Amino acid sequence: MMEVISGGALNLIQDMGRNGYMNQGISRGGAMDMLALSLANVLVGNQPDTAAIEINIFPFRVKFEEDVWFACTGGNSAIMLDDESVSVWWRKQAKAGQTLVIERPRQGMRAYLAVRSGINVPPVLGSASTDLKCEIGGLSGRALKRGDKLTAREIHLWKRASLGIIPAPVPDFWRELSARTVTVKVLPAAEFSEFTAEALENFTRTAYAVTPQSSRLGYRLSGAALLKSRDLELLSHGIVPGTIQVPPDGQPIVQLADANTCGGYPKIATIIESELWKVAQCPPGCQLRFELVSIDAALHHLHEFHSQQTLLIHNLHLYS
Amino acid sequence: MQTVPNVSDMNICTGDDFVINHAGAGGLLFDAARGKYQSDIQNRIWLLAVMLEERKTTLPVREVITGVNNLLITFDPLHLTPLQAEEELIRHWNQTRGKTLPGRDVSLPVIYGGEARKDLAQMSVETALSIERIIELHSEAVYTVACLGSMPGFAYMTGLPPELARPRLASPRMGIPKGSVIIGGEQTGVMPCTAPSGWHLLGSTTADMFNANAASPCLLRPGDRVHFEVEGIDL
Repeated sequence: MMEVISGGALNLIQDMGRNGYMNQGISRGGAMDMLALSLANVLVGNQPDTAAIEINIFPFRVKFEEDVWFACTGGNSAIMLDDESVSVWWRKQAKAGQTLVIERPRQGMRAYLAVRSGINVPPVLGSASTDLKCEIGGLSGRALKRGDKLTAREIHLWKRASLGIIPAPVPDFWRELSARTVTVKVLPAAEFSEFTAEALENFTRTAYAVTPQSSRLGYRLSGAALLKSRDLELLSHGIVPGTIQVPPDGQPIVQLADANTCGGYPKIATIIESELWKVAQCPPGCQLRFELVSIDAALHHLHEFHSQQTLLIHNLHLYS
Repeated sequence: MQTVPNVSDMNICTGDDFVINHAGAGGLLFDAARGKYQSDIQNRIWLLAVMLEERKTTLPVREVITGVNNLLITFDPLHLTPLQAEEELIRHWNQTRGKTLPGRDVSLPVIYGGEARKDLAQMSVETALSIERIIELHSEAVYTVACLGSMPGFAYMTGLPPELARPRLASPRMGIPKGSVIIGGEQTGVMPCTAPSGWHLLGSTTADMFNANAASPCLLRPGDRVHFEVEGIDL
């Protein structure tokens, strides 16, 4: 269906990750930006959890070997199909022989390329997502490389018009990215009250910069040190993507999709699930601000986020 | 300007012998730890994990992660509120009282030494025990799998004879080979894949700790009793 014609060791086949294997030490994995992945899929008529490509290294180039419907979402990239410009968050049919080039996003960090019916790779432990640590999922458990030929799960006629969407929170988020400061909602975590009043003040009122030591495993942040009121020895415990850990040096680490399933550092807060897509798009140098919310406010945000997406998916079906 | 909420409005649930905290909107960390590791608490944690795994058929529970004297669950918060999940945790925790998990006995053949001979020699100097004595102590003890984590199929095993406890290296070494039998702190384990580790090497086993294509990908489960059997010594 298409051939990868650019290198880059971090372009990965991803879906929404593995469910139910964290108790065996296997990370959830999956797309860092689940909003972008699911809507790229919906644009081309797939289920939201279908295997697509998460692009972390740019420019990304593929050559289509047959007529293929595709959609590219995520960061605000310039996209060219041969010499024709294509909008991001837009579906279009490529013709056999055409080359698609996705440039580094002006706002954001990652792009998602979905194709009609999904990329055909065998699921491992219930998911197509590439886990580089376990070397499972995706294409033989590894990142895509030049010369890889990918096939779609099935090719059949699909007659649709080109169409684009912009999910409600995305334009505001891109404005935040342009101003280089992104605010995310967090819930207090188990050791929240072990931190000094000054640390909690710093955590909620000052910004923390994403450092270059950031990957799909997690982001190391840099800012005012977060100190605890006493020394704390914790036994190993499960951690979820979004957990903000604080090692002894006081500089926080946000655990993300490929994080270890267990850890031992104190946790000050957890970024709520409906905000993780934003974190996924924050490049090094971007400032993160943490807005502490109650569990009720977090649940409300989650409901809103979910119903916005449901409505968008419903409207897309009406136009399809 | 937002204000920092009081600890009292953080919706922490504290019981007689546990504390529950949020781990995101769709996660709860149930912590029964009282300072140091206790095996009786761990036994109840395993039982709690088994019960909650069974509830997955009727409840939107996603992950049940056994920790050391604690347990983390994740769930779909749009279909199970954190409060309902909390009630499930407490109800099942109370049912674990006075019960024990049978656990299985698993033997792992080990060739002591080999690529580990330098570490063994170093350990012998630092512990003032002969290499033969180290091997004897390590292979005669019965270990218990406290939990799995860190790497796919990596089992944290308790029951290491105290004489063999070794602090972890200040920084991990790269490329510790798959199958390495290792010691870190008061625990022992087996490398399920080649990866960095700050633990000390004793030998290696041919047992496959993790196979993604198997119905149950990990060889060991929490609660299993592990016996390391001397298959050979290569010094």
